[in-house]
Amino acid sequence: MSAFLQVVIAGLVTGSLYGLLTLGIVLIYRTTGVLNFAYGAIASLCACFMYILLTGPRLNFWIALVLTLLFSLLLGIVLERGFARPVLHAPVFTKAIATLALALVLETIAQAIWPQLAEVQHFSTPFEGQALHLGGVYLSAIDIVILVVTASLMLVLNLFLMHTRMGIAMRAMADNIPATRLMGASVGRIFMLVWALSSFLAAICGILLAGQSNLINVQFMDPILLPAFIGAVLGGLDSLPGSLIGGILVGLVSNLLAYFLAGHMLGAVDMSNPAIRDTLIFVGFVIVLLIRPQGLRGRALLRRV
Amino acid sequence: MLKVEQLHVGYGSLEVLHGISFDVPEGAIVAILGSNGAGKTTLMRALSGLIPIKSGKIDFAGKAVGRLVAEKRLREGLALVPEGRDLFGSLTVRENLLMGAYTRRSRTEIEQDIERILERFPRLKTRLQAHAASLSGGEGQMLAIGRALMSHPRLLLLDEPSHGLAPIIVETVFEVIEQLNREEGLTIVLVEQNAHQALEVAHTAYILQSGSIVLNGEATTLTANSAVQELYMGG
Repeated sequence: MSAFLQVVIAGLVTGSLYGLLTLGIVLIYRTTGVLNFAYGAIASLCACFMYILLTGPRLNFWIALVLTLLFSLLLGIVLERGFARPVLHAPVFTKAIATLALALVLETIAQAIWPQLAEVQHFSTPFEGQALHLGGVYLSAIDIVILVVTASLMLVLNLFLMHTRMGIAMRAMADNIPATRLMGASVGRIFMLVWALSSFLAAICGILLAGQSNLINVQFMDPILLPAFIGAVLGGLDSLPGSLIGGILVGLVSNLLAYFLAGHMLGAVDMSNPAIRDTLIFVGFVIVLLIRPQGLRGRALLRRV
Repeated sequence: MLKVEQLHVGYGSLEVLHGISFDVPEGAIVAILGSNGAGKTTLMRALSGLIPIKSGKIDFAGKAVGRLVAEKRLREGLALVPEGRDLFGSLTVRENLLMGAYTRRSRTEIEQDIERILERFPRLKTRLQAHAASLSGGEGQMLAIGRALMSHPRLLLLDEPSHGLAPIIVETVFEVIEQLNREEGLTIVLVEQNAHQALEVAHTAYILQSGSIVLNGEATTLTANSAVQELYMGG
């Protein structure tokens, strides 16, 4: 029982990270129509920036964290002005493909200025090696941090989106951009804010993930992006709560599969191979989409002008 | 209050409005009538700043606003109720009204205005927490007008307020338009296909045909005009 509980908790930890990533992806997609495949690269870049601050000038962890979060906001603004604004009126698929190029550019730049990060490096946090034992369940300190940080961020984001003037305007813009302009809202300012906010979320996810595995390189977020996107599509791409649930679901399912498949063989195939698990998740995802093409909660897939 | 001179508007190389001029005195209801494709919506979009003008002048309250972007024109007091209403479907009725007050700061004043608008449109009161997408056509039009009023406009532009509404609802909408003008002295410009209803509430009217104004005058004079009757009022 406690082994199962352990797996569920691990699933929730991974899931809440995916959830935060999907939230950032859906936020950008809904408001600016960009399906952002560079999201992983943005997260990596920010986490790498923090690694450099920690290892180069040997800054205190918390100072480096604050500087990195400031950097992420700035990065979001630069990307909005330099990348998203010029392609604003392009079709959805053109923009999506442009983000693939953006991801490459970001990773290449990171690798060029920080060549040591082409290799896997050790990312240390104050939580390293600390853990909690609660009735047979083992909880590492960083996992607790992840759960607390993601839960509070989701709460704050929800309050922001539902109750503040700017949050309501972001949701209004996701519905109808010309009408938002008619209300006197400066669409450019809101776009910039959305990009800043979502790259802030990406930075937090990147730092938490690097902190969890204690490993980092310029591409370490790439494998995470796929499940996050699956979560986003499962959630329906246009529903913020849906995206969150989608992300958590993918994390849970992935961990549960690992638990149930461990040690099982199907003929000569070792079912505990992570590749088998990923394949199963993908198959499940395709089946869900066949039954509910609009995702579990959303209204329509890829519907946005 | 609003003075439009030699307005040319188009999309790319296609010109839709060929030098339109008209005048809207303060406190008036001015109707611009025309059939489908006459350029009515293009005119409204150009007046509100959603599309750029090619040449000409738009003066509003003594200020040239023709080159201002939409959000700045709203701040000058020029609000548009767009064709098809353009509500924020996934936002609640209340949130739509709050969006209407985007440019205003005082929370207490905004709450008072929401109360006033709900008094004017009691149907919305019961639907306050409903998503705007779930409203009926009539309720939607009321919300679209209410949302525009939340910005305290000095001039309200209405793009086909009768669009897609049942005849009995159309009556109500035009009553509201007349009330807003009479009770609050709001200046109103409306474009309509429904000439009959529009001429009943308007003081003066302009007939728009293929992007040019072909006729204008007092609403009562135009109502009696046999050509207008034949073309726009079904004989």
